[in-house]
Amino acid sequence: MTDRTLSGHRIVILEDDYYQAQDCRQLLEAAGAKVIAISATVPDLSALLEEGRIDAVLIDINLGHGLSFDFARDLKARAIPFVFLTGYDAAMLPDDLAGSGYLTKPADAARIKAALAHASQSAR
Amino acid sequence: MAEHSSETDDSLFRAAFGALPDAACIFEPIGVPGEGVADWRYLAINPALCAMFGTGDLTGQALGQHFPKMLAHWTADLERVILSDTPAVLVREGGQSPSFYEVVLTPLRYAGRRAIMARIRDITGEHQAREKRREADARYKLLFDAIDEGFCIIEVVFDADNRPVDYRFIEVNGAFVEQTGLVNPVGKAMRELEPDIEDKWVAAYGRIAQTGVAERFESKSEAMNRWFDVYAFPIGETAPYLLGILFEDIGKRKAMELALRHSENRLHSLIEASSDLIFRMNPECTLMQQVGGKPLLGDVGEERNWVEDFVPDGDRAAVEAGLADAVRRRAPLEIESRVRTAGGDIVWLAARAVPVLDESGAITEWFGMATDVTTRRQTEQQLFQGAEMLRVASEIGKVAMWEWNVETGEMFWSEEHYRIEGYSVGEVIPSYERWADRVHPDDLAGVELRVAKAMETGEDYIHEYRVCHPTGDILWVSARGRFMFDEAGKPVRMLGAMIDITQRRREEEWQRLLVAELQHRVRNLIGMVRSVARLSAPSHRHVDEYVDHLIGRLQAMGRTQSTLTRSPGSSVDLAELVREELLVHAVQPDQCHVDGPEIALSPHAAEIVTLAIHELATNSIKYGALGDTGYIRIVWSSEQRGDKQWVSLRWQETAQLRKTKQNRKGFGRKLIEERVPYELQGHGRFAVHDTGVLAELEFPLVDAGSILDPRS
Repeated sequence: MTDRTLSGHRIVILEDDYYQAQDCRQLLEAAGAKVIAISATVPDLSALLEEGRIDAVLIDINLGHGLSFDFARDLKARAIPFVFLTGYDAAMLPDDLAGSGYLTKPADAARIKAALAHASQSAR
Repeated sequence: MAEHSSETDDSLFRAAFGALPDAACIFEPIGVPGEGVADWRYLAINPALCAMFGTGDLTGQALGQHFPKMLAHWTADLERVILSDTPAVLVREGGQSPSFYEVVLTPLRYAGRRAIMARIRDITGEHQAREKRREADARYKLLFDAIDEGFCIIEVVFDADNRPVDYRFIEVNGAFVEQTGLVNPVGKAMRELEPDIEDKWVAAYGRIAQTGVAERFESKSEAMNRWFDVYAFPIGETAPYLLGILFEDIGKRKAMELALRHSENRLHSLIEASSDLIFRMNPECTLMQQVGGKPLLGDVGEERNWVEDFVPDGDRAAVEAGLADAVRRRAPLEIESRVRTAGGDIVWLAARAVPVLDESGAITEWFGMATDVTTRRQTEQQLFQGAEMLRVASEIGKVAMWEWNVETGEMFWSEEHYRIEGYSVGEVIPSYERWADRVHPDDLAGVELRVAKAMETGEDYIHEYRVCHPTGDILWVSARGRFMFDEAGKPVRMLGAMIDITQRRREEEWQRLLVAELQHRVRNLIGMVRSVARLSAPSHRHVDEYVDHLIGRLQAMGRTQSTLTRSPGSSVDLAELVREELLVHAVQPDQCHVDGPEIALSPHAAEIVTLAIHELATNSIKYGALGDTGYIRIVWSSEQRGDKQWVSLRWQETAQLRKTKQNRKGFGRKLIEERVPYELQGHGRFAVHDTGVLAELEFPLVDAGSILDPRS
């Protein structure tokens, strides 16, 4: 693998399904990214930021717990780029998050990498 | 006369005396009058007297000699007349009553001696007649004053040309003053008493006075302001006659007559103009006869048994009962019934009749009227049916209805309206404010805007909004209303209906979520399958083996999915889950021991535990206890740790010997050691001992399950 699209990017994955989270981690690390956190629940953002910057966050919308939107708002407030990766339609997004980066499951590796690269790029 | 001799005179006197029609005699006293008269001697006696007494000539004889009683009776009178030398007329009752005699005693001189002549006349007839007249007069006078009518006797006054000009009252009775108002009229002329008296009265009385023909008439005197009923008749033998006038002031009667005539006319007009049927019935209410008004029953003709003839069979019993009741109570009768007219049509008549009673209180007949109320009955029926239909429909459909009088602010709510607004029926007086109180605060402005718009444009008001109950419940309602406007285009009323659509709203929302969830699940599942496939790959060198494993895992996932969709949102019983998984892998009951309390797993936890048991069972069949004569214990327990309930599940194999030592971290081990902590925030341990595998799973139980449960 010589893909270095996300070389040096510090990325957080919020995904409640263990297998998909592992899958994502593997493909992002293969693209040169450093996955600094992988969690099925909303992580402590402040603690993570103390360890270093966050270039992008990949968020699975989990309506079952309904917390991911608040987490996204928190990220938005801290100007941390993020991309939703979800089985739901974009119509599920609340109005204030409507313009956010968005990928529909199942997404292939190329699209995930491109979306995260784009998000972190535009934030810089 | 001097030449005549006394002898000639005497014979002449005797002849005259003898020819007198009355009985007569001449007495001379025997004795000296004033000093004692013993008897009276007849000097002469005429034949009439002889006839009266039935005697012969008593000349020269004494009265007492023949009639001693008469002597006693008369001697005082005879002596008084002689002494006074004045004639006297005496009336004496005869011995045989009733007989009356008039006796005229005249003193005279006969041959130089004092004598007395007595002339006797029978006046019995005259006396009786006079007595009778006197009695009649008294009775007449009594009557005259006793009668209520006025009575007077007048004399009509004529002028020189014999024209009547006035009349004078000669006599009046007691009632006269009361009847005329004229005071002290006797002797006065009418024009003196009442100068303005009309000429017609004088003319009428003058005519009667001249013709002698009695007249009866009624006339009004404007001058006296009285109405009189007059009977005037002539009195006397020749013209101009006096007049007797019997009269009465009939002003009151006249006024009553006029009023009665007026009232009768009006009643008649009313009956003729009436659209009702006027009828009379016999006392038993069986026979009826139309007496006026509109022929509502057609041509009724003679008296008829109307119940039999006109009332339809079905209504007859009720009508007869009503009639019998009224007859028994002798009270006004009111009946509303269908009747068949002579033309065969069925109409509704409302009849009311009152009993006419005689002096003894017995019913002589019934009098009443009947109105055609067919249209009213039909309208009532339609109204009733309409209202009933609306009531039932709104009850069944749970439709709340309201009416709002825009001008007065008054409102009407149906029972369902109260309920939808969260009031008990009748709890409040319906008003705009009470309604607005219950509209969700966030929706109120929007609702009022819609109402205002409907009022302004006349378009139907259609809106869905939330209603908050005091209990905290929130209902969604769908309301539709319409304003009514007057001729000037001013809104006067609003009518509307409202239904509770909370359930529909919830179902819509539920459906929306369900579709989204389905999409999510399908996409997630594909993602998961892809991940599982990728993660399964490294551990197998042979494709066949890989495919078997992959299919086994996918089937386990499928079982979880089917469990979840079979009872979405509900929890899964751990014991059941374990047993089903063992059954799938054909684990015999004598190979295992399953024990633990009843525990309900969330769908998510169930999915992971299912997969874990699957992996362990697959592994055990291939390498461990289940592939040999081993034995498995699957036990679990639960305990409180902090604020959460934790469940601990242990899988322990006991095998005679181990086929291979497996240290590599396979799919199952990863699942237990990594996925359990990751997804369930618990712990997982997987160890391979000499006796077999020991796996332990611990995780907190959470209530929140799938989004498929709308209540979570």
